[in-house]
Amino acid sequence: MNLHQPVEDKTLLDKFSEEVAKIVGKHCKYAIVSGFVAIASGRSRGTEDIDMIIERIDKDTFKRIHSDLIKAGFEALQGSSADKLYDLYLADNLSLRYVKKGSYVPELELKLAKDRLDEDQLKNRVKLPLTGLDIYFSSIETNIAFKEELLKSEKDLEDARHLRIVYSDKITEEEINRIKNMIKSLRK
Amino acid sequence: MRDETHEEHITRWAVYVRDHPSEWKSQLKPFLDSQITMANRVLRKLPKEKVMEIKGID
Repeated sequence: MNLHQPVEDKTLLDKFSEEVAKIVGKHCKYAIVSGFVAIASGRSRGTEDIDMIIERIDKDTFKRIHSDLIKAGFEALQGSSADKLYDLYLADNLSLRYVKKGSYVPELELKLAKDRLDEDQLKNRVKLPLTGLDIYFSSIETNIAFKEELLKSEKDLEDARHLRIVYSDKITEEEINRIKNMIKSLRK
Repeated sequence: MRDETHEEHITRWAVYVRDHPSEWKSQLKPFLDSQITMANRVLRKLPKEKVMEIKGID
């Protein structure tokens, strides 16, 4: 499968994700998590958010990421001061929300890895050829585990079922259960 | 609660995606793109404060 599908086949969410991933990935390790993993893997539902976890960077590194995002035409919805954005949001484990200037969706929700589970997502991040995108996602097993063990809404359980079918020959129950056990001990 | 035909549809579509890896995206793209385009069309007509309220940002 081709990681570089023709541009005309890419969705607006695909292009947005690749652009932010390229910028953030220059400065730190990242992983796209949650709903967009399912949608980029063919799940037929909408979303406005791209959720991204990044390693726990210091303020100076964040300032460089923020500056590059601004130069590329993005803006943070919570404000423009990189110092405040870091101190009031990222350092407090809250998401920063970036959009392209002049648009309100899609939206990047950027947050720092907050525990061993998030670090595990970064460590085991993967590229998914089926998506046609040259970006890193948290593993399919991780997404299934979160949706079945923690999130559990109708939408999340449907996402998990979709992922289980689409990646049926690539996932292992052992790995899903390993992550579910981490969720039980760290998030419940 | 959705009925079982909805679940069947999800399963049928997932199998299609798995078995047609180079075809599914062109079918999904119009739906995904129109959702973004229409949301922006509506949100741009609202005052910024209203949009922030909708998004839960103080």
